[in-house]
Amino acid sequence: MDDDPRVLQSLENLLESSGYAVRSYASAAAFLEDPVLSEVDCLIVDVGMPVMDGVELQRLAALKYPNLPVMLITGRHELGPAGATGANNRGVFLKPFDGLELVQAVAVAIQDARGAGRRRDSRVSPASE
Amino acid sequence: MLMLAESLGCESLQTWARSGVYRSTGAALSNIIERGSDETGLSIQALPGFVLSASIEGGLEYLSPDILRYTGKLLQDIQSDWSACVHPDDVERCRNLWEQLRASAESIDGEVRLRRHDGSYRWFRGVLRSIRDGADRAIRCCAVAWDVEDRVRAQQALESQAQRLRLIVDTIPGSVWHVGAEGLEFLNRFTTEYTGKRPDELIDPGWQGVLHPDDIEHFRNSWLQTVHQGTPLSIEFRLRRHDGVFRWFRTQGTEIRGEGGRVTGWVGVDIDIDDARKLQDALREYQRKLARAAQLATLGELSASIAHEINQPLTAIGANAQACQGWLSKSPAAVDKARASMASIIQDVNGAAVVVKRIRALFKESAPMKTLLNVNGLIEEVVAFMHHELERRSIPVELQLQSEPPLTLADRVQIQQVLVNLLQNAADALERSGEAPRTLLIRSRAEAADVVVEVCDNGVGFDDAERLFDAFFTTKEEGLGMGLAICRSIIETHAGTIWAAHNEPHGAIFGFALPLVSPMRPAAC
Repeated sequence: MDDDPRVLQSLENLLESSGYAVRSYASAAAFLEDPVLSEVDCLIVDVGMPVMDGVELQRLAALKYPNLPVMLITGRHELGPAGATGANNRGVFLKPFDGLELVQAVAVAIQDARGAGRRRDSRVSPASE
Repeated sequence: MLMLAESLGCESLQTWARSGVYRSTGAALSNIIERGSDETGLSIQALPGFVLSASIEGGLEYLSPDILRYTGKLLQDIQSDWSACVHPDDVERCRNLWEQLRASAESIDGEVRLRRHDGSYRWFRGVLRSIRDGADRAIRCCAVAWDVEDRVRAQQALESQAQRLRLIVDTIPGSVWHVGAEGLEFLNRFTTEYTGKRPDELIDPGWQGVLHPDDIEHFRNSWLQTVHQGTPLSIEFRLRRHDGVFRWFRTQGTEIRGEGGRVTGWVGVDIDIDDARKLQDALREYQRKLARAAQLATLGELSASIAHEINQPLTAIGANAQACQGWLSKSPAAVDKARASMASIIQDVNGAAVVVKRIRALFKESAPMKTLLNVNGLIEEVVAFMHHELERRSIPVELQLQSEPPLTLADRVQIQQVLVNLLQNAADALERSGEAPRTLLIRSRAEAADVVVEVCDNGVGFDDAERLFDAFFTTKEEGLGMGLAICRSIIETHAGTIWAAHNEPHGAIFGFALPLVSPMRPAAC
C-alpha cells in the first residue's frame, strides 16, 4: 500500500522480479475491501497514507491476523521508531531504502510465518501507501 | 509766623501756619528764609515728597508737610521718638546710615519702611546728605525720600517668581542645560547631583569627562551639526553617574534666540532613558530570538518537505533498478521486464525533475519591479532605517558618496534588502572583532558602465572567499547562511556582480556593481 503511484509501481516490479505474486492498493481502505486479505503472506505498507496511515493498518492487521508480518516504509524518518513497536512488525524501511534488503526481509518474514505453520501460499501483498 | 505767611500772601504757607505744627519747622524755615531765600523756603515746602533736615546729632529740625501728613504725627512726637515711624526691622539700618553719614560720608542712600498714619508700612528710598563747615565737619544733614513701595513689591513678585521657576527647573527629573556664547552657562540641580560635579567642573572640556568614551565622537559630531546647521540636537549617549556607573540619556536641545531673532545659545533637556532602553533591548532581543525560532522552524519543516518530495522518486528509482537486476539475473534473463524497468526509471527521473522545478518555483524571487533608482538616496535611506540599531551597537557610519548621484534601473526593495544584509554583516563583524575605533564606510561611485557600491569594515574579516556567497555557508554561530546567497541572487538577476575583498589592515569590503544609467543614454534592460 502506497498512495504514490510511482512508488507503488516500483514495488510491484521489485517483488515480482523476486518471484512473488503482488497485489497493490493505493489506500488502506481499498485493501481492506478486497477479500484477498485472508490469503496474504506479507504486507508492505507506507506509513504516510491519508485517511488511515500505515501504523493504524498494522495495528488492525495484528488484531485479525496476528501472525501476518507487516513491513512499514516511510519518507518521514522521524516516524520510524513508532511503527516498530507493533508485535507483527517485521521492519521499518526508510525511503529511499535498499531494494535488496527489503526483498530479503520479506523472504525471512514469510519463512518465519510458514514456520509457525500457517500458510501454504506464497502470495505477498505489498500495500501501496 | 502767621503774619509772615499772610504778609507773603502765600496760601499754602498760611494753611501750614494755621496747622500749628510750625514751631520748630518754622525755626528751620526761618533760618532758610533768613538766609534771604524766600523762594527757596516756599519751594522746599512745595516739594512733593519727604524732605527733612536735622542737626548732626540727630535732632530733627524740619520735616516736610508730606511727612507729617503721611505719619499722622506731630513734629514733636517724631522728634521725641523717630523710631516709631520706622518699621522695627529697619530701625537698626537707619541708625547705621546716620552713623555713616556722621562719620565721613557725604551722601548716603538706603531703603526703609516708614509707618503710615493707618499703621501700615510702605517702602521709601532716601538720600541723605551732610552739610559741612569750613573744617569739613558735618554740622547738619538733610534728606529727601520718596515712595518706592510699588517698585519694591513688583521686585519682590519678580524675585518670588524667579525663585519658583528656579525651583521648578531644579526639581525637573532631568538635566536642564543652557549653553551660551561663553560656553556652559546653566545646569540645574539634577545635573550636579547626578554627576557629582560642580557646574564649573563640567564646562567644556570637562563635559567629556562624564561622557562614555565610545559616545564622545558621536556627541561631538551631533553638537557641531546643531551649532553650524541649526538642526535640533537629538541623540542618545551614556553619562557617568557620581558612583561611576554609566546610564543612557536622551538629549533634546534647540536654539534659543535673543532680540532680533539672533541665536544666542542652546538649551536642552537630558532625560534618563536607561531603564527604558534596557527594557527595549531585552524586548528586541526576545523578538529577534522569536523570529529566528520561527524562521528555523519553517526552514526545518521546509527541508523535511523538500526531502520527502525528492525521496519518493528516488525510492521508485531504487526499487525499479533493483527489480531490473532481478530480472536480468534470471535464466533466461527477462529482458523485456528489464527494459520495462529501465523505462520506469526514466519516468521516475522525469517525475523527480518536475518536483525540483516545482520547488524552485516556490522560492524564486518575484520578478523584480525595476524603477530608476538614485543609489545615493537609497544608501542614505537604509542607513537612516538602521540608524537606531547601529547607534545602539555603537557603530559609526561614514558615507563617501559620489556627489553626482549615480542612477541605476533596479527593484528598490530588493536592492534595499542587499544593503541591509551587507550592513548587518559588517556590524556583526565589527562587534565580533571588539576592536576600536570601529569604522563602517559606505562608498558609491560610477565606474565605466557601472554603479559601484562598497561596504567596508575593519572587523574580523573572512578566510574563504570562494564559499562566502554559497547558500548555507556561514561563519556565525547562529547564522543561517542564506543572506549573501540571496544577495547574489538579487544582484545577478539585475545583471550585476557582487564580490568580497579583504580590507587593509583587516576587515572586509563587500561590493556590488549594477548597470549605470545615464540620464542621457537610455538604460539597457
